[in-house]
Amino acid sequence: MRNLVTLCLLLLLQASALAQSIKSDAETRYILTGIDGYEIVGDVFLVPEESKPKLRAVGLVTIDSEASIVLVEASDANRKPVEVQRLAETKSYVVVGTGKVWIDVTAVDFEKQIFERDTFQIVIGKDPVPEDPEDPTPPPGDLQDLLRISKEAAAAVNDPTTAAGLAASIRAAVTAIDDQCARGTCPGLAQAKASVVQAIEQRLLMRQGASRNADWVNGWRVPVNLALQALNTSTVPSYLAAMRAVATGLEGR
Amino acid sequence: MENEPIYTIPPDTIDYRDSFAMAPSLWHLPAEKWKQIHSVATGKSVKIGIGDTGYTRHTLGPEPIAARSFINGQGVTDRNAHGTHCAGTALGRYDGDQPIGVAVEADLIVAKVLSDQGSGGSGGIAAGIRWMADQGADVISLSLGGGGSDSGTNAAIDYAWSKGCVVNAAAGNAGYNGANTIGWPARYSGCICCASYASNMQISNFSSGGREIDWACPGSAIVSFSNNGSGYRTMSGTSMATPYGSGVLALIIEVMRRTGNAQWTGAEAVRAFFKGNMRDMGAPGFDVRFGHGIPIVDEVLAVLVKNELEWV
Repeated sequence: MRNLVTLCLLLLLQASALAQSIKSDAETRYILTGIDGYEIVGDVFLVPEESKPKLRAVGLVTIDSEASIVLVEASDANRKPVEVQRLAETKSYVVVGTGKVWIDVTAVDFEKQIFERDTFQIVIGKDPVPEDPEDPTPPPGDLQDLLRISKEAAAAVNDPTTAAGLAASIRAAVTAIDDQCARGTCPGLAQAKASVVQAIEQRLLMRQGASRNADWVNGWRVPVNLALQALNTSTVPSYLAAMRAVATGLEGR
Repeated sequence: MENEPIYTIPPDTIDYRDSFAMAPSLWHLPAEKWKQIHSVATGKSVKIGIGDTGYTRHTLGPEPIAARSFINGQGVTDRNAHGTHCAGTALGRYDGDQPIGVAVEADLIVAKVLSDQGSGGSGGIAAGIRWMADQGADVISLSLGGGGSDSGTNAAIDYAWSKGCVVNAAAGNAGYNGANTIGWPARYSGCICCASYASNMQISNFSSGGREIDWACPGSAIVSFSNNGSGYRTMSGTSMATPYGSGVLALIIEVMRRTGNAQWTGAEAVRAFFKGNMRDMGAPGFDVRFGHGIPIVDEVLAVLVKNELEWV
């Protein structure tokens, strides 16, 4: 006796976002598990009797950008990371979460001078958690102060183009370090700091036009550096969390 | 234009014109020291405009990102050698371990504003300055001069500053005997005025003097590109000191920009920077031969590099 399972693709368009050259679409798809030893006959899957097929809703996010580097991160309502897997050789990413999920897209291309970031929310599955807040919860305590200092200093410098570029560069550097850590090759704190500083200085070097009149060193780097010194983070994860707060401040959020 | 001043390669430039295929060691760019300097800054992202007799591509020279002749009937190709030599000093690349130029990764913009015979009308020079500024030049290097002020050239220099571009010009090769011998446009307040010193750290005897001198750079017996495409030659003059200074300005601008400083807004801001950061030479304090002094490049860059900003 065999179970006959028909695979249906249920498409629920949930979100569509547009931010400059970043174009994104998201929809719910289902992944089918527990079908070891299946056969495909025509348009049906034949699976063994002892198998326990399960459908699980996932988000399928498609990002279209001219940038050579596109980073996609996801987090749930509690700001906990949600697993994201890129489908090989496509512009699509599978987001393995449930309910409301925030997607952060960072597009960077040094040649084309693209530094963009887009954040949007998708709902995965039919039953979103109703008590989700509208936005991710802010970082607590000292990080909130750091965020505020970064935000106010950047606003005083009054160079929004560079501010957005710096935020994207910092997030890209932080994500790259995160990836290294996930692969088990986490850099030391000094190396992590050097990587982020290098990303910041590369972006500052690319300033054009009126942005070159802005004093980022005294207006933003010095006060934020002092705040970070006071915070005195001693581990790579805490440093990266601090730099995410710095980036959020640069974004004016 | 009628009655416009004619600017030329500063007269009496001492030109040894000895050509050789291989670069010897260069006294003004000691290899070991400059390798260290280039680990800090190379002129990356900075554009240097050379307003001179044009440019003949050298095997170790950059391909210009923009080039245009302002001389009727003559193309950009340098059949004089002066412009190519200046370009090599400002941004010639490495020959083995020996850098030929100061800003080895800067971009080159060429405006041929002096003819193959070494002279050009001030109208063409002014147009060339404006054009280089429009091409995005961060530094314009003018190894030329003459005896009269020209309002069109001065206005073009002001226009370059409005685009954030520093104009560095040769003081002249008239020596100094107490009377101001600086030529134009170096004498104009919008220009940074460059004198010349020799390997013995003394002012070059040909270097013009006066109260407009801002700084002095190496200009005696300078080896740089020949215009035969691959060789070298030695030349002397404030014409040679000026592109060295322009290369140094490119390194300073790179570090300023990278660390997040606001750019200079005018020649006075550059002078204020020089006052605190050049090594005083000659008579104590500002003097009419060395100006504010000479650039000790590693020390100047060290002031700008913000090592204390270790977190962001």
